[in-house]
Amino acid sequence: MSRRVRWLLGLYPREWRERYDEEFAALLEQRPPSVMDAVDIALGALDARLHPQLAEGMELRAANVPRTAVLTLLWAYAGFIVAGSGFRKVTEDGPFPGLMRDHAAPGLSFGAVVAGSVVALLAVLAGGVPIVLAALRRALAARRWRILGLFAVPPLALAVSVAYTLFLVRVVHPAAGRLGVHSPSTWRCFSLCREPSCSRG
Amino acid sequence: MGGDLSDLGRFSDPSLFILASLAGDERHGYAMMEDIEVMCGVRLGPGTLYGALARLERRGLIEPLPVEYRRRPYRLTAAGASALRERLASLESFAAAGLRRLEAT
Repeated sequence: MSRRVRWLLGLYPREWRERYDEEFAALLEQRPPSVMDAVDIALGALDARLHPQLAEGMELRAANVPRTAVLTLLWAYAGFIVAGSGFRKVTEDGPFPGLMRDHAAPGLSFGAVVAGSVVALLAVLAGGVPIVLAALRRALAARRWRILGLFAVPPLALAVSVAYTLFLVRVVHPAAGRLGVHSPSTWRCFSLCREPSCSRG
Repeated sequence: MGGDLSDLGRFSDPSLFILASLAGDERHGYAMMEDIEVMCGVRLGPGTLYGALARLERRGLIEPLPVEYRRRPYRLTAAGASALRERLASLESFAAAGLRRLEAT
């Protein structure tokens, strides 16, 4: 089995591989996957992860349709939050605040996007927390340590990010701590801190 | 289990092609892909093929046979044949109605 085929098969969940691995690998060896096939396989793996019961001997239930719909909505909301938060951040500085003060239309539009992203965040929390808890319970029941390890990634990433920021502000460039959070000097400090010129002061 | 393929979303058409392919004979995945390409002019991707196969198997419309040289053939069940017949009859009726309207214009 080629490394590429092995990697593509690895995208599928374990239960699915236990059932279909051998015949699927034989198919891919008989017809080496093109780039489009690789994309199709990646989508198939995503589908298998969204519908784990397909490989677990459980019957396909009508409940799968609302489940998929809920997950789609959740992703859509999450995307809107990212877009809304990004929009909010990029318009904090520069000419935009003045423009919003002087003209009603951009100000109202901006407010609508921000309010929408806050509502979306609440919706993601309301819809996502039960899904996360269900996945956590299932991983604990099945003793799937790898999945439990994945749950540790977001808090660890947050902790690393906070520690890195504190290190930058307090050790690498202590002057930034005395400046306003959104001042251009602070952002310049964060963006240049990895460059040799930064360490030279 | 259900014979209705319309609620399979994006796997609805591939499922129909698979059932039609298996109506001729039992086949494994690669043979199905080749057969469908010849019969319908549609090239199914491997991920789509196995997504549809898993759904059809769970619904009892096809059944797996013992593995032969790492390849597992599948065959149509009685429920699968019935679902295929029903779907094809519906398509035939739709096609006939469309053609009648075209001829009337």
